Amino acid sequence: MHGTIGTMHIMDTTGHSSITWDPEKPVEVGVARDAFEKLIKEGYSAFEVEGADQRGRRVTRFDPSVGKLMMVPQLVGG
Amino acid sequence: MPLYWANTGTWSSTSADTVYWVPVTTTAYDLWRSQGTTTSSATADAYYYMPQSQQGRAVLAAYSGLGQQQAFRPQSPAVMMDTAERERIEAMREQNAYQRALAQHDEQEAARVARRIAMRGAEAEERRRRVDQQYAERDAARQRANDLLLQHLTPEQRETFVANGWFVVEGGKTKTRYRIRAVESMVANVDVLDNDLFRTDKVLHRLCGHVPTHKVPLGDQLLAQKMMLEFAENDFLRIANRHGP
Repeated sequence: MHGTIGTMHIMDTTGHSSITWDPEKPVEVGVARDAFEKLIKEGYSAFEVEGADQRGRRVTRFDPSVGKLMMVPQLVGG
Repeated sequence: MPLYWANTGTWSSTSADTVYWVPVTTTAYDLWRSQGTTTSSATADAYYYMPQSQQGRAVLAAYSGLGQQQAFRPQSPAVMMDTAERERIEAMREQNAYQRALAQHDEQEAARVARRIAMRGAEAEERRRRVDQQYAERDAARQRANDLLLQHLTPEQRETFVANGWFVVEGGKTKTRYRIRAVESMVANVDVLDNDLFRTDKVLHRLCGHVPTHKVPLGDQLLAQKMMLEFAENDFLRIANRHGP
């Protein structure tokens, strides 16, 4: 949705960290994009999630118009 | 109970909830038995999670490997004490030294011991403060992760999770039903359920795939598994190891 503040939740040792951005503010978008790309390089998986029924999909590119992103660390077999 | 001081390793713990490790050598083939718990590798991490010993002390019987992983021979045992008891014993020694110095009219020695006692007290206080802070941070992280998980569960999933510690998700590709159970160890916590018409929830087998446990709290673990199964099921199935029902 145009103008909606985007949120990226990053799972980490603190429970999670969050980065927000206004799609109309290039600096904020840049910070979020850099964080996204860095985490993807580190092996994180990114998921776009929306709606009360938690619909979602995996994404590999940062889209500033997305409302919510979940960044999940790499899983290993146990 | 006599104290056995084996070897001269260098590991100790500053956490009040863990044991103070009387230094012994450890190798991948050493076997440690204490209160019925055995572990094949006595590392600092293994002992961090050991349960509190009774009365602050446990005898640790040590065995070293004979080259074959199933054969071990006894070595010098070690005694583990919790940090509080260790501090109590050391404080008692310092007090005795102080009293001896006073009795011998050795003011210089008495002053030296008194300074050591004060310094030790301050160090112990600082350790306790750090430990309290670590626990507070850990508890806060667990709560944040739990809250994030609950925000991303459907009402039905939230209900079973709160009541039973598990929730069911549907695989995005195969529509297989998976039950994700909240297990601290995260070992094989994903049950693959039979898709029979009567929803008997028979467990066909279990899957073990998770974020390395030191990286994120339990709530994040469960949410990560949910996301992967729902939106990247093939990747999860490729990564996870399969275990019997």
